[in-house]
Amino acid sequence: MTVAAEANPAEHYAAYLGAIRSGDRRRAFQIIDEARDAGLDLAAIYLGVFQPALREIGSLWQNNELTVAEEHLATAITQAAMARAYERAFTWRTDGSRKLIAACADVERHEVGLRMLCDLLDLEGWHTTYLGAAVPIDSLVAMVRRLRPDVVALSAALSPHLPRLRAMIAAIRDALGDTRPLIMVGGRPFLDDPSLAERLGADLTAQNATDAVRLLGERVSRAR
Amino acid sequence: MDSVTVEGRAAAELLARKTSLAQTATDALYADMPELTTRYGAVGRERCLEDIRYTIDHLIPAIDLTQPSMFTAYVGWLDDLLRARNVSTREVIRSLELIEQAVRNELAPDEANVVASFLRAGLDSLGAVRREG
Repeated sequence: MTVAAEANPAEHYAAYLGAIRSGDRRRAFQIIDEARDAGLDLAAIYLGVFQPALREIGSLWQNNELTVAEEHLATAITQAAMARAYERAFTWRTDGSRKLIAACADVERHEVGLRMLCDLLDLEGWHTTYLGAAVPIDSLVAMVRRLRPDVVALSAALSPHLPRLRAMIAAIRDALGDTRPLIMVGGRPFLDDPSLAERLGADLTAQNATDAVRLLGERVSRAR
Repeated sequence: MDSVTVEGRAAAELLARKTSLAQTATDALYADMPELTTRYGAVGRERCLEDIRYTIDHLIPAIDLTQPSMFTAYVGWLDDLLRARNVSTREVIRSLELIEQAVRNELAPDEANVVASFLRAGLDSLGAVRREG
């Protein structure tokens, strides 16, 4: 869509932040519908509206300007708004060959970044399996064995979850050896220091969901 | 965690003793600064215990991965968060010092030295903030 290049996420971002800050779900949905109508594609809405809005909500909480309840509400509204935006962008087109399994190392919350990656890959024709947070490691490994994905994407939002992330990677490597999938990691600790990815046994990391989609497109071939 | 390196052992010990270390440091902080009880009450003391546990949670991966910047970034974040809630940098500094004291009492000297060096990096980063501010 040529309109997308002209559409500016910044104005939608400000309005969207105002809506989730005050817990107004209807208004938040309306703003995202308007952003779609203005020509913003899903990636622009995810990275230009949702992601900066949630980061700002986190800062507002840190500065004691929002309560934990208000922060959770803003996240819940955003998850619903993401599902709604995804539904509107959805197509049945798939190449059916490239597969990815995604799981968060965190035991709670902070699942939004990985959800964004899965949605954007879906639109590129990938088959993604999103498991969210708190997946037991043995059950993750069993699913990797069964589905044989090209990629396993793992995220850790906070450094205390890194030991669990490393254990997940080690378990996948142990179980599948040479036939293991490509392992991608993401989250705040890897933004601060991308070299951590390799130290934890992963193959690659990316700065955001769009970069991850591009990187995986280059690394994983379509036809098999 | 690597059981061969001193960092790996220190991280494993911190993980195993997290609860008692946090309790010891919290008790010491309240003994040291009795005004905290009147200012924050019993709820404040529970919060303080949670915060100190959370600090140890962030100390563990930083030591395990020998990445001091991971811990100093957390300390900066914590200080901003607490100052926004009227908890002074002085209290954060004291809590880090008392975690060190608790660690020195519970861990082997070589492990305690490693933990202390990471806590000092955190203290230094707060010192820098204070000088600028």
